[in-house]
Amino acid sequence: MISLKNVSKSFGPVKVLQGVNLEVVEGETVAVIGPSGGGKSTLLRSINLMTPPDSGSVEVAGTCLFRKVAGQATVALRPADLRLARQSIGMVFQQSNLFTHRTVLENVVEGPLQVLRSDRAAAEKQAHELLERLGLGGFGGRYPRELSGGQQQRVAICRALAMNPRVMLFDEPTSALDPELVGEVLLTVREIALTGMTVIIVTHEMSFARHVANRVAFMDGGRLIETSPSATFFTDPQTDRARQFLAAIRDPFGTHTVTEGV
Amino acid sequence: MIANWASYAGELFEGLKITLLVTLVASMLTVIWASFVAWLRLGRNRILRGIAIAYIELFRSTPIIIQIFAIFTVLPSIGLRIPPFESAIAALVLNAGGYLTENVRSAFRSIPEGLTEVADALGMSPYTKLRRVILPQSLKVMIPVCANTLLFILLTTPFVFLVGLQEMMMKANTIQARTGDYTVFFLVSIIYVVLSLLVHLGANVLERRTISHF
Repeated sequence: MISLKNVSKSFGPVKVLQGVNLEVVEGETVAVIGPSGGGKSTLLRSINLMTPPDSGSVEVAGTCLFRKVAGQATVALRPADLRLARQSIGMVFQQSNLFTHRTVLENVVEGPLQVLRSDRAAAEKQAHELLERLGLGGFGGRYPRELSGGQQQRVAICRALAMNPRVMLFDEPTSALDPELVGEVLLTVREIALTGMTVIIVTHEMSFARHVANRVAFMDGGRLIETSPSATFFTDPQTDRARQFLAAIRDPFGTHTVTEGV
Repeated sequence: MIANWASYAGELFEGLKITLLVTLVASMLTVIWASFVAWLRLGRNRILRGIAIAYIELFRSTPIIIQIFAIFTVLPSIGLRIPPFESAIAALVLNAGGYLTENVRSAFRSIPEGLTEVADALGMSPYTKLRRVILPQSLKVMIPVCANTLLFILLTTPFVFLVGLQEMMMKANTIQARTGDYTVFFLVSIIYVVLSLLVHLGANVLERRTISHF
């Protein structure tokens, strides 16, 4: 469903992605984890070319969105084709970025009406169903500022789903939330993953990566260090860097070493 | 003095109608024009961006009288004849547009980047993004900016006497020349002040209403 081959990207002298390869099959949920600045978000944003790579190839749902590989024909979509491709790639950001001047319902139907040119009645019906499904039934007439951060983020998810995308990308959807609002958003993402949607989520929520994702992609220094089934990644990481990372997040105060020493 | 004023009222009112018509039409077109130029100015196309910058700089650094002359007398000499009213509107729009564009540009840039990213991620065309996201989201900042433009244009309208439009200031000149009564300018000033106050008042009301929506 998603295929990234040898994707590289630099911002000036900083190499944020260095030859990353990632294959995601239909219906799979992949959690991208790793330290900040490791290239996780850039990797995600390269999939719908919000951040176009410098080289490599990007393929989503059978369409090549980008290819710049020595010895092969270069593919760079024209703006209209890129917009078309993005319609089938839902993206949710760290901030909900709702249109503050529109109600919840208007936010959700905005894409279908303005981009897909759907019929209003059908778009609203679908929007109501989505809101209902994500536990936001009855919120359609409210303005974003009247909702909690978690609710706003769930509306943003509805807005992306309303485009009937083939894949969903989540870029740290819970990082800007109060700790107690994180759960409702992650449950929503899980619910979407369980419907068979292809999901890639950049997250710092290890329990989500462990219990919901099928696979974990661990990134550091612009490289994909390790890609393992989530069941084994947390119990039996294959690389030293991943072991080090997991140890640091499990035991940030080094209590084990201290007690051993005593 | 008041008795004199009463006798001019009808004539001045005729001029006031032209002043208001020119101001309103020019203001509306200026806002649309400036939004368009600001959009080019912020766009990715280097040539269009260059043209936008050249236009802004040219019209901000030349007197409006020259601009009106250029449109009304120079253009016809190369075969492009524009009627007086349209020439006046064109000159006012191009002139005020040069200033407004820079304000609109900063209003556009006041929009959180996340919102335009969402528009891109949804696959919106640049035009849809402008119409559905950028313009409405910048409305709050745009209202005072537009009110200023309205005032700027209102107070620039006297220059359209150059194309022979009988607006209020022109009428006042005629009356003064005929009667020798300079106080007619005092009366005209009062009218301009009242109009300006109305614009400020209207903008304040609009601004309050819009902000309650955000």
